[in-house]
Amino acid sequence: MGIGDCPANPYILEYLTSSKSDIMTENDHVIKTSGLGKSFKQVRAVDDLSLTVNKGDIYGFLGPNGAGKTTTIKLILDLVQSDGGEIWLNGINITEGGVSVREGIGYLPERAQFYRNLTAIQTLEFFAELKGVDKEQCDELLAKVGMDRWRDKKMGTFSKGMVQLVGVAQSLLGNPHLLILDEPTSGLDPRWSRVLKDIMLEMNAQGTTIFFSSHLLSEVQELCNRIAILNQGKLVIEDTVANVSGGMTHKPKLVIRVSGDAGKAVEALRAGGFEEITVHGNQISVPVESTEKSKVLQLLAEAQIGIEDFKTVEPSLEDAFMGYIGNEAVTGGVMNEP
Amino acid sequence: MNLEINLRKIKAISMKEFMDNVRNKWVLALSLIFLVLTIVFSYFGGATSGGSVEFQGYEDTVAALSTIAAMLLPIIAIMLGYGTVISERENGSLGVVLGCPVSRFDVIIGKFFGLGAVLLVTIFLGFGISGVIVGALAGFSGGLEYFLFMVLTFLFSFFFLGFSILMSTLANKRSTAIAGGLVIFFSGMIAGTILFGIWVATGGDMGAMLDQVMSGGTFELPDWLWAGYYFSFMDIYPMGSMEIFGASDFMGYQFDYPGFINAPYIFAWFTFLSALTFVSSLLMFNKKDL
Ligand SMILES: Nc1ncnc2c1ncn2[C@@H]1O[C@H](COP(=O)(O)OP(=O)(O)OP(=O)(O)O)[C@@H](O)[C@H]1O
Ligand SMILES: [Mg+2]
Repeated sequence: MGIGDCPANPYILEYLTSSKSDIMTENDHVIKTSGLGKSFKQVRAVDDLSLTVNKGDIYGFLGPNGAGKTTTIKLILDLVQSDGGEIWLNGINITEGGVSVREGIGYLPERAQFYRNLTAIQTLEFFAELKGVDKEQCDELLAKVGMDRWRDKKMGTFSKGMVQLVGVAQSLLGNPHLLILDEPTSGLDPRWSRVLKDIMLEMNAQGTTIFFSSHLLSEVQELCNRIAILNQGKLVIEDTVANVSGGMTHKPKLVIRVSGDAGKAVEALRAGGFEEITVHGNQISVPVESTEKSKVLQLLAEAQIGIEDFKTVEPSLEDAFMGYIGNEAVTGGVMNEP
Repeated sequence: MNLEINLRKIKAISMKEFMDNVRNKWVLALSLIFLVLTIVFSYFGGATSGGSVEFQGYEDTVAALSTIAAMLLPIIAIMLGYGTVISERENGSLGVVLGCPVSRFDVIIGKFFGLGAVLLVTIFLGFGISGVIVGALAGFSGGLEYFLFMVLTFLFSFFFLGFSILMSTLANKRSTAIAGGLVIFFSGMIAGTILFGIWVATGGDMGAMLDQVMSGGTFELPDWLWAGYYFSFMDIYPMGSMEIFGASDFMGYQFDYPGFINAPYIFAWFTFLSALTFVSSLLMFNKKDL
């Protein structure tokens, strides 16, 4: 991506025209971490994590509860000190860049409450000051997230979702070149969740790189071009969405609702060579290659089993996710040795 | 993490801290408390030391006022400061602030300035307005000394503010922060007693001392004891306040202070202590995970 692609962002312009030519080659990496690690007392929250977020990405950061997503985001923003590894923002090592490495970054934390005694507009104006950007845009941004009606009401009186929306507006101040969002749609109703996703797509179309964590695989699948899956602090995979979901050995599944005895159907299919069958009531699902679908239906017809309905389920990101992290209900990082 | 300074950001943070206390009426309440306190002690203070019920001059007003201010101001300063960092860490807003191009130095200095301004404004409004009233009724002689007393009062309370901000950066819970603040408050209250305890235990004669000072004479105490009073904050502040007027009152009696108990040293001491709390807060905050 060239200079001309993001004219709206003076920071990038300034950066690209700066004299730091030796790091220009690194400049396609908006975020890069290498061997990043962080332990809290008993927990290894992030372990040897190397990520690369490229310019223009919408990058989904997935992982079960306690996987270390929030900790990683805090490490990137220098809110938490790492105990190993390195982080570059726009090619600049964050330990060397000073506060200016965070210029042009919009950040939405998980569960921020902001200041209860400030109004929505005062909150935005305060952060506009801190970012050194024009306060004129505050009203416009409040309107963008539907909070203009509540402009002069105190944050302490807002619902969780309303606070989240002000947080979103805050992250958009100064037209950032990078958005770092920690579970951005949590607490939002479907309508505002949709609005936020549209804002993300719109910002991305204008050249903003977006890095966000999520539990919602559907939204990741919808929005992202690249994803990473984190489990117990470790990177499991980092790739394009298509490669992650397609790279699994999962076959598509044929899901059939039978009218009679599901047990009889299972017997018939086993006899026909299909071993991996799961049954829920009168619904059976069989992993099949696409060429085998008719054979399954034929086997059932031959056994005189009534078919009420059937559909094919393609392997989803969810299957991939569950496949990668395993089914054990593990939460949290790895416990350190005492 | 580094020490980049950005005046616009520091101003935004300190203005927010200050305006919070304007909005929640603390600035108004404290100014009124200080005003009423001064008037009351100027008017009735004389009666408690055997004088009459009427407005006293600045020196007598300060003599009565400074011992109560020595208790009240630390409490106020601790209440102002103890939550300032920890509560923003708890609710996540500090993370958003530091996610901006803002340094930890900006945040700490902004808080010291903003909350310090609350003390400065309320002390100068409350003690200032009442000082003018007292002067108008009892004469303006000693006005400069009274002004210096306000400055010392500010430095004294600023140290407790700084200490409570330090506790707020160190603590991982609000309750720990306020506990830390209370520790310095109580240690300040008992330090004088402990010092005298050590003096008596090492051969000091309390009876002789009391006989001497109550009969109007002076009494020599060892230098180390006086030096120790620099760590008995609630004693050294009223001693300094009287030193400004050239009076060596201690607990209402006359003592011969050694030369190192003097107003300039006491000013310098509280300035140094405040700076110490500032630097410690900065160092501690730089290492904190949010
Ligand atoms: N300040 C802290 N002190 C101690 N442990 C912590 C702290 N912050 C995080 N942890 C631990 O680090 C691990 C990772 O937590 P983190 O919040 O990064 O997970 P997450 O992936 O964001 O989870 P979720 O999806 O639930 O938000 C957890 O085991 C958590 O308990
Ligand atoms: Mg999280």
